[in-house]
Amino acid sequence: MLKFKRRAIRHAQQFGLPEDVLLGLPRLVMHGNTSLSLENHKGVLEYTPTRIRLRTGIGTLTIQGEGMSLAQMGRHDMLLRGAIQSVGYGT
Amino acid sequence: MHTGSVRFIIEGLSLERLINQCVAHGIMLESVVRPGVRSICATVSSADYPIIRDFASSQGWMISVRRITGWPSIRMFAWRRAALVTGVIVFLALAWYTCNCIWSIQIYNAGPYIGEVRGVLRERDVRIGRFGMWIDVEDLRVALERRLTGLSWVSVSKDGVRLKVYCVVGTPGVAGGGDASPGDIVAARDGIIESVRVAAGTAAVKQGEAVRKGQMLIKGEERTWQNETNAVKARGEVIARVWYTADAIIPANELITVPTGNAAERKVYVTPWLEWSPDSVPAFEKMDVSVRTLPIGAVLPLWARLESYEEVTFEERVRDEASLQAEAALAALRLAREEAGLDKPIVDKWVEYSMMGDGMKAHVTLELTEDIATALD
Repeated sequence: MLKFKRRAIRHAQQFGLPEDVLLGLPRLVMHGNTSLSLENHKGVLEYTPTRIRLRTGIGTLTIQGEGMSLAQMGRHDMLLRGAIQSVGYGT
Repeated sequence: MHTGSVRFIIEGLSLERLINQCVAHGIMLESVVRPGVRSICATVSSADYPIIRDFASSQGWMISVRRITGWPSIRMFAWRRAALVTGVIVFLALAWYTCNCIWSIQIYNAGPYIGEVRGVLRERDVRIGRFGMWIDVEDLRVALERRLTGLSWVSVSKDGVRLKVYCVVGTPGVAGGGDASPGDIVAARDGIIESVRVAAGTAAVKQGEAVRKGQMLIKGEERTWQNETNAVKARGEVIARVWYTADAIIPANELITVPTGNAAERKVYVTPWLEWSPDSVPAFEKMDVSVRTLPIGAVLPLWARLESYEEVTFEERVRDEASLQAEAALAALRLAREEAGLDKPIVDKWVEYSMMGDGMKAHVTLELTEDIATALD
């Protein structure tokens, strides 16, 4: 499955197609370190003011910071506010 | 009707599941914060709140409402303070009603027809305190025009809480006399000519001549050097000595009221719709009544009417001749002055007295000079 996804990403890059739309990849937009918007998430795994873990199509997205809160939480998109310190994939 | 939002706090374990369930059902969560490890505070639309409450009850979470905004909160506020809301609604309704009532009726330029205009208004129940929307101004205008043929023009309009009736009294046309024709100038009344000044046309009278009302004074034609006649519109000034007369009869006996000493007071509370009094009208056979009205309702239309009753008896008294003559002469003089015009200087005046049945009659004749020329067109 992972092999298929990598191949699909490579093909999409070759043809210049938007990967997030075609493959449902997460799309992150950060404004400085105070807010982060995420599209194409698949649910919340953990939510505390210092650590938020979200399920995405390519794994778990972990955001660490201080005083974080979910300003908006929709079906496919969310907006997070707070002092963001790090963003990364994995546990 | 769900146009507001609900902020709630939910307590329990694994609250991330709640967020995911909401997301799965398409519920938008806003301002999601975690005040504690086992609690989440969030805002949802009031339409979605029952769904979240069902989630909470099925999962064993404890949910409580923190704040409600929008229409549901207004509805709750109204439900909790029903008396206040009802009072405000009633006050606003009353304020709207009173602002739409007629509180002043103004009649302009009705002259001698003012009483009849008021009569027509009374017949149509147009009175102070009547609801303005129930008054058909066009219908009223037509009724006034039909009833009062002496008025040449009538307009009725509503201006806020005022009803305005504008009238123009018709001027009777001057009857032409003899061979007078349109373009000529005729006499407006009988008189003796003092001077004639012609601006256009040909003078038909000369100084010292006695003229009758409607007689031609300046003819609307002029002769040219070739002895031809040109029709012109006559213009000029014809000053004449004229007389105005007026009669007044004053009854020789006068009826006077003599207080018996019995008096009573009555207080009546008045609104445009009803009157109420704790006191009854005193049972005097004949009485003098004086009324004082005090506004006591601040901005509301409520007055207190203080009525003072004084029992009286009538006595007839014969008046002395000198005061009768003086009063009759004054009344007749006033009538004659009103007819002649109050601003015109009086050259001479005569007063004749005669006893007429039970009264003294005064006949006043005023002599004055004025321009009697009036156009016949």
